[in-house]
Amino acid sequence: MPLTAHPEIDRAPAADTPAAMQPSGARVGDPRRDERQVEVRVPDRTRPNGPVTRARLHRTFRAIGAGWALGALLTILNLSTSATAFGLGLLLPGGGFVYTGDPLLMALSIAAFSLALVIYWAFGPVLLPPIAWIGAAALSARVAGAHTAGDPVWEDARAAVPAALALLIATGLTVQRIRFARARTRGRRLNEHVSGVRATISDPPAAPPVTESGPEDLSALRYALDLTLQPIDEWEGFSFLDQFREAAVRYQLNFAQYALAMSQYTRTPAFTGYLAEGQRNAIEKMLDPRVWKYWRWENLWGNLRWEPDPCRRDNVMLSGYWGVNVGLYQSLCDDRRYEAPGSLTFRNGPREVYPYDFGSLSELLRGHLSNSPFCMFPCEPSWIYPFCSSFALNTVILHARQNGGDASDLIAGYRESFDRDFMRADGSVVAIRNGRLGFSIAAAPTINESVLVPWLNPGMPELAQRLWWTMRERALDLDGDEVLPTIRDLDRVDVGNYRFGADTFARTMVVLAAREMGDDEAADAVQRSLDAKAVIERRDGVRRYAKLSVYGNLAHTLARFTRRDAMRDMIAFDRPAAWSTGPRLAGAAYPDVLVAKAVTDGRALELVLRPGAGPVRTTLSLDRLVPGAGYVVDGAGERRIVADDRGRVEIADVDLGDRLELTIRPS
Amino acid sequence: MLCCVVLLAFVGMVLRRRAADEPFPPPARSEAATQTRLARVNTEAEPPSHGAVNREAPMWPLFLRGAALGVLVYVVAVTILQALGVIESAATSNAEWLARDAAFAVLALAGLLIAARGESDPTATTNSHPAAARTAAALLIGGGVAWTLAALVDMHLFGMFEFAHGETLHGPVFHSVGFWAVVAGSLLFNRIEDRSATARPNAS
Repeated sequence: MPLTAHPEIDRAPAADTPAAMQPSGARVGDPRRDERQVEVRVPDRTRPNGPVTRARLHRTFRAIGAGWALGALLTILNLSTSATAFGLGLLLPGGGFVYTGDPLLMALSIAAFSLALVIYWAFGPVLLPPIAWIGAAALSARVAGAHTAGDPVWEDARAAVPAALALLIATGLTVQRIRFARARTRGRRLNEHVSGVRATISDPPAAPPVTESGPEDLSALRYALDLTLQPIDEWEGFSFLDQFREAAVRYQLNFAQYALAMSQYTRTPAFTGYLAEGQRNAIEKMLDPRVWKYWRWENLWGNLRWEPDPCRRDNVMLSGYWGVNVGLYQSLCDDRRYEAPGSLTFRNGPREVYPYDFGSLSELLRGHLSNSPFCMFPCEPSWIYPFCSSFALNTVILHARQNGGDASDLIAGYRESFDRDFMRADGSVVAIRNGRLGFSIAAAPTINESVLVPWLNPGMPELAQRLWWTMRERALDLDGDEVLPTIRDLDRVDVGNYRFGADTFARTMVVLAAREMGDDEAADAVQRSLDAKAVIERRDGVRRYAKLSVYGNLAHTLARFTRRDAMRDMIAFDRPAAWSTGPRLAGAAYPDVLVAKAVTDGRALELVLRPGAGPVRTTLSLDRLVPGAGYVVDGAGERRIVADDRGRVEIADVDLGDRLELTIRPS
Repeated sequence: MLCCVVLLAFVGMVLRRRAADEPFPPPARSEAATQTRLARVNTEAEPPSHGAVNREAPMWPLFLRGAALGVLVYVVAVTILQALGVIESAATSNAEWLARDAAFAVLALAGLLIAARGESDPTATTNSHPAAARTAAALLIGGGVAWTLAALVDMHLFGMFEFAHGETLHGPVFHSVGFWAVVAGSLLFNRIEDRSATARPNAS
C-alpha cells in the first residue's frame, strides 16, 4: 500500500489534497494563525528496549534466575525425589512432573501457569503466576514422594528439563533478535515510503469552525443524551458485564461525556441546558460505588494493600479518563463547580469517604506521572497502557490551562518515554507493558494505535501525526476492496461487550483517529466500510449500531462530531473569549428542541433548532445577555426582548415545526 | 496472543450479553427552560444524597460464610465417599484424621464467626439486590473456592486420601465440584447485577 498510490502524495498539493497535507493556507471557515510542517518519520532504534524497560527486565530475570539457581542446585544435589522434583519444577512450570512421569499433570501445570499469566494481565493478581509456578513444583514434590521402588521416577529428567530450559532461553533470545532486525527493516522501508510526507501542525484557530448538525447527527447524539439524562441512580441502557476491564460501565460514562462535549465544541458551543446536564450526570454517576468498588479488590490482589480509594494509586483507567471528563465539562460550560473542595467525593458508607475535586485530582495524576520512570502509571496493578496514561496527561493539561499552570514538563517526559520504551523499530506501538517486570504483551494493533492518535494530539501533535500517517501506510488501502486489509484477529473484538467476530469497534476507532487528523478521505472510506457491514437500529428518534456495544456506539458518536484537531483544540487551547462571554442558550426542552447549531460572536447568538418529538410550541431560556439590554429575535416573528438584571430572558411561544434558524442580536 | 483471545472468549461466554439485549435507554425528557431532572450531587456543605442511598451491605461476610459452609460440606462429602469406598484413606493413623477434622472445624467456625461480625453493621442496607439470590450467589462462590482449596490441601499436600484404584474419572469430577459452584455463583451474581441495573423505581 505505497503512499504513492494515494492522491494526496502529490508533493505539490493539489486542490483536492486533504487539508492536513497542505503545506500552508487555511481552510475556509477555519482561519488558523500559523501552520508548520513536520516530518513523519519512525525513529531508528539500536536496541529493542529502552533503558527503563531494560532495567526492569534485568531485575525480573535476576529474580527468576535466583529461582532457577535454586532449582538447579536441588536438581544437582538430588537430596531426595521430592526435593529433585521441586527443583525441576522451579526450572520450568510442570518440570517436576516430567521427573515423576505424569504428562497430564505436566500439561495441566503449564496450562495453569499460562492461565495465571492471562489472569494477571486481565485483573492484576500479582501473586497468582508465582503461586501457580511454585504450587505446581510443590505438588510435583508431593507426587514424587509417593513414588516407590516399584514405581520409579524418570532420572533422565534431571538433564532433560534443564536442557529444555536452556533451549527455551536460547530460542527466545534468538527470536527477539530476529524480530528486532525485521522490525528495523520494516521501519526503514516505512521511512522511505513516507519520506515525502509533511504533516501539518497548526496553531489554534482564532474562530474554531462550528458546523450544523444534520438529522442523523442529532439522532446519534440523542443516544448519548438519553443515557445521561436519566436520573443519577438509574442505569437503563448501560451495559453491566464486569467492572474490571473494558466493558466496565465507567468507560461508557467517559465516552458519553466525550461525545456530548465534542458535539458541544464543534456544533453548539453556545448551548448548555440539557447538554450540560447530561455531561454533569455522566461525571457524577462515576461516584456510584458500583462503578468504582472493583478497585479495592484489584488493589488488594495486585498491590497487596487494602486501600479502596479509587484514585490514590494506579487505576488511571478511572482517574485519568474521569479527569478529562471533568476538565472538558468545566472548559466548555464555563462552570467551575468541580473546583470546590470535596465536590467530587466517593462515598461507600460512613467509613469510606474519599473527597476529591478537579484540582486535587489533577495534582494526584501529575504526581503519579512525574514519579514514574515511564512518566506513565498503571491501569491494573503493574500494567501500563500509554493510551490510558494519555488521559492522565490530558487531565493535567486541562487543569493547567484553566488555572494558569504548566504541563510542559510532563508532556516532554511522556513524549520521551513513549519513543524510548513504547515504540518498536517498525513504528508500531507497545500498547501494554508491565511496569514492574518490564515485559510487554501483544494487543489488538489497529485498535490500540488508532485510539492513541486523538488523545496524543492535544499535547504531542507531532507524535500523533507520525502515528497516524505510519499506521495509515501500514494498515489502510483506500483503493482496494478492503480498506483495512491488515486487520487482525485481535482487532475483531468489541471490547465494550467482549463480542468476537466483528471489527466494527476497530473501524470506529480508525474513523475517530482519521477525523482528528483531518484525513477525511480515510475517515469516509472506513466509515463506508463500516456502514456496509453494520446495521443501524432506531427507536423514538434515536439511532445506534446494532450489535455494537454501548461503549462502541458512544465512541462512534464522538467520531461523528470530531473534525480536524478538534480534540487538540478542545483540550489544549482556550476557547475564543467571545464563547465565554457572549449570549448562550441555557435552557430548552428535550427532546422537543434539538439544537443543531448554537454559536456566538460575543454579542449575538445564532441558533438552528429542530423538533425532536414533532411540532411544538416551546420556550427557550437565554443567559449571559447584557443586563437590561434589548435584543431583537429574528426567525420567530421578529420580537424584541429585554434581558433581566442577571442577563437572562425567556423567549416564550417559539413555534418549532421544522428546521428553524434564530438570531438574537442586540437591538 | 492466543491465551488473551482464549481468556476474552471465555469471559465473553461467561459474562457476555448480546448487544441487542442492552435496551435503548428510556427516552429522556427535560421540560422547557428551568425544569431540571432528579438527584444531583450537592456540591456545598451537605454530602451527596446518592452516596447515602447507595450504601449497601458488604459482600465479604457472605463469601466467608460460603467458604465456611463449603468446608463443612466438603468434610461431610469426604466422609460419605469414604464410607462408600469411593475414596481410600492414605493416612498413617486415625490421629491424622482427627487433627485434620479439627483443623477444618476450627477454620469453618472462625469463618462463621468473622462473617457474623461483618454482617452486623446496622447502617448497611440491601437496597439494590434481591437478598436471597445475592446470598445464594455469594455462598456458591465462597463454597466453591473453599471446596477446591480443601481438596487440594487434603489430597495433594497432606495426602490424606486417594481415589480407589482404577477409577480415573472420580478425581476430576471431585475436584471440579468447586469450580462449577464458582461458575454457577458468578452467573447468578451477574444476573442479579443486570436485573438491579435495569430496575426502575416508580417516579415520585
